[in-house]
Amino acid sequence: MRKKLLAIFSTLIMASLILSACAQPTPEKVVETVIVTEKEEVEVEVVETVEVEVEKEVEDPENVPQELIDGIGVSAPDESTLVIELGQEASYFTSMTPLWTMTASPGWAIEAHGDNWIEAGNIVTNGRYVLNEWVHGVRRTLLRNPLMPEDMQGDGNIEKFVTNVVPDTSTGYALWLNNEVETAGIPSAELEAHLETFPEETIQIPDLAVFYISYRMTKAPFDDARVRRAFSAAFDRETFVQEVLQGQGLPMKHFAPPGIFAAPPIDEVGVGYDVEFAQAQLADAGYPDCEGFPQVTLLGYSGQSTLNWIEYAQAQWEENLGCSADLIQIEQQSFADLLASTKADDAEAPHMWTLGWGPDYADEKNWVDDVLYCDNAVRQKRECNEIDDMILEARYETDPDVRKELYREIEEAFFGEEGEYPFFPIYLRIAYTAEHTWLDRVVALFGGQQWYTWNLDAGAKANARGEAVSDQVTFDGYSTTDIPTLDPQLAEDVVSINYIENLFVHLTNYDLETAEVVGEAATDWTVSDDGLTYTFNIRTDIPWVKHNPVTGETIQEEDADGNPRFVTADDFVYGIKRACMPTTGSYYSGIIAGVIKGCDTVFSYGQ
Amino acid sequence: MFRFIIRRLLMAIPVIFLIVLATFILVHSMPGGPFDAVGMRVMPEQTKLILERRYGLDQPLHQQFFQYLWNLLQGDFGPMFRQPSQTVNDIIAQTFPVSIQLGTLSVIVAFTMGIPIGIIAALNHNTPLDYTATFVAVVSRSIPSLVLGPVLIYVFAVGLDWFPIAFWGADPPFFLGVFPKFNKQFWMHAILPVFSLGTGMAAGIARLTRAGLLEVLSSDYIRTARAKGLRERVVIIVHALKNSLIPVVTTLGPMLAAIMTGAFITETIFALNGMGRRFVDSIGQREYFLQTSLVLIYGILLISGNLIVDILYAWFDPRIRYD
Repeated sequence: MRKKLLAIFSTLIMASLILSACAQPTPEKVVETVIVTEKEEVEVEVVETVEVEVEKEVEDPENVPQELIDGIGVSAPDESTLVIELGQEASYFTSMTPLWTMTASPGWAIEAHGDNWIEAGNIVTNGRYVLNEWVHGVRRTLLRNPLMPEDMQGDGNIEKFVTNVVPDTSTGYALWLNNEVETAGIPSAELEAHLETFPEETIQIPDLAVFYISYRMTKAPFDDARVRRAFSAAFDRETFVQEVLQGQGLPMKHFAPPGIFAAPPIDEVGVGYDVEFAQAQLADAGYPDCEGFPQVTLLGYSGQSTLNWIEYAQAQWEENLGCSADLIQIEQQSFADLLASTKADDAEAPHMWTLGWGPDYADEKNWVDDVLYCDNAVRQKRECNEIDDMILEARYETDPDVRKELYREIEEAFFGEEGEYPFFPIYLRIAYTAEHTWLDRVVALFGGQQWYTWNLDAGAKANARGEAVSDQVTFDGYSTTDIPTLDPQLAEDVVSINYIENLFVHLTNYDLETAEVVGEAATDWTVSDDGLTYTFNIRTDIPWVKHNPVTGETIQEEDADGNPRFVTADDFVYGIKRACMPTTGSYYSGIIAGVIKGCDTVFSYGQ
Repeated sequence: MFRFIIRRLLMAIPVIFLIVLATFILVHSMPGGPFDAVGMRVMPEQTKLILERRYGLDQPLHQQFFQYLWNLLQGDFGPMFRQPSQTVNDIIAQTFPVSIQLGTLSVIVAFTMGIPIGIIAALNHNTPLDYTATFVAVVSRSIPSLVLGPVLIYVFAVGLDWFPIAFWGADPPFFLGVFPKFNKQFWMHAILPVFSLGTGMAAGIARLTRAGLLEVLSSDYIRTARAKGLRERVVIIVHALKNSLIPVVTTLGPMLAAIMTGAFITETIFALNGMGRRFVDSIGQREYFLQTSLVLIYGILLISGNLIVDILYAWFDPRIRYD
């Protein structure tokens, strides 16, 4: 018996090995156009259906035709001029120009090292800091770039930036208590004690993420806007923020938070919490005191904090609407499962679910348009109506004052007394952070953190630690994850974006105080009358540098002829075109692909 | 014995194949994929398709499996989806040595503490010493490292400032890929996590040693040895201990495999870049190649550990023969 089993296994393995070998691609990749036939049914006027064979060329995204790449609307007439052409009017494009996806990239370094071009010793940068050390999963260290033009160095005095990977918030907080790091998140269990003990060493940082409960608008009873309004108005946001979130939030009545261009003032648009209004709406919809209300599902993503949230909602609807807890069935799923469930058919999808949205750029278009426009609101299954006409109008409007008014009307149309309520916003997330008093900084709301503007009192820090003052002003910090990437065209997460902000100079940036878009590599820019062409003047005195982690030396890059390399408009052209390539593929490259002329054609090549 | 070892190694091949196959099927059965979302944002369908195609995830599952198998035979464990500049081989090279170092030290501490405590308890059976040892063992076993770790940090690191709060005291590259520099920094960083991980295991070993020794001490041959006039120390160490450790040795194989593939909680609390933490992270991130490869490594270690245990059996008990 044992021998037979052994024989069967051996045969199975041999078969697998043979099949594996057969599954291999040929060593040399031969690119050729493959003609594929497709069958298509064509209705003719008379009676019968005729089958017609159609030949269609298969596109290979690894080999985009050069003429398509050349058709991307970005060019450099000279070293210091960058021209970007849009596919259609988009006055919000200025808000997108600080995106790291559009930053200049060192093409020669990328071609030389491939995916490893971002490793310490290989990476070529042009920002205020250089990468000195990157021990994956453990630590990374930045040093000041000594070759940066002086007017771009920033007001900060931090010369060395050390960040360790600490996945656990409690451990990070312990490091802070021991003065080993300058800032730390505060574990929930410690929050009350921390606020009592260290009131002077606590700051609140909003991250502009707004969280909401969403509806499936085609599924009864939430196919009735009155029911949706009722459930929204029966949720006490203020108490939720104070009691459930321990004060770490700002109640929201409409969608876009303060600081976003064209967002209405926070207390002006939206019904918010109004029990009388809620009860009247529910009664009007045919469910006075929730009589006859069917059982519905509220789905949250996994985690205790979300459970607290949905249980609070359940309790609020019971208290304010009379909908008993067993009518609101709460469930939790992993985030991936929740995303899948909320796209399912009505029979499978939940009635309500929790979700949130954080901005990609600081414009209302990124809120009510990118999330709620009928073609985008696939989870809610919104039908197109006059609100979407307003959204389109605002999208292409060039007058900023008219845009502000339009977006105000749109927010009112969604969240006002007669609002459509595809979802109801609840709170803007604000986190308490422990911060030692020797650190002086302004936290950026958009883009990455500008470490080059931060100041640290090295004497006070050394005193607290009982050490001698370090000869290099050093910031010690931690993050809960490693950096996924330092490639500007690939970066999607906060950690990567923070590093890229300091390693690379962007086309433009956000002013720390006003959040307005200001020049960085671009000193100024003009927009054509038709709103389709943006012309940027690029300063050409920013050097490309490479840092040697072994010797500690930072030197300027040189081209093949020995000429020093400076950032030019061509480097931005390279970066933007690279972002459009289908082989790059990142969330933010998808965003700019929809705006820059010809970019989407290349981005979707082969799909 | 040699034939036995060869036979076991050959039988391990189909087992490893089945492990890879089962894990591959399971990880691909999980709902969702690695490119569904970016933080809280849904990845646009177009971008998702581009990324799936880049990593071959748009191919039929059986084709993906055979491709993975073929790459595996060439020593290529696959790419990382969310860290393009890293491969699974890189992750294993960075994290496996740390897990081995932590695991080995923890097992040494566990045996060094557990066996003597078990002996003392058995030799002082039903005395306050026995009760104390048993109590300490039960309490140590009951306190999870999730609790013990932070307590050790707050008492010995934050409070007394005797040890560092977190991090491992050695960075890659390691000597011969595994060995760190055994300097003061290394030992100072190692003490708390090793103790946190080792005490729970020591408690289990102490209990097994005590029970095994008590059983052996009541055997006829021990009575004979005593009757012959041998010193008590010789009776215990030479005659009794070896046989009483057979149940302890049985746990060694699975313990080694589990510990060396990472202790997720200890690694998270002490911010150690080990395999356990990466393995758990890979589940949520749907890093298929990393998950399958780490399970494969665990399987190989488990098989190897059990083989070592079987060999040790033969040494402990000469009556055991495999040929």
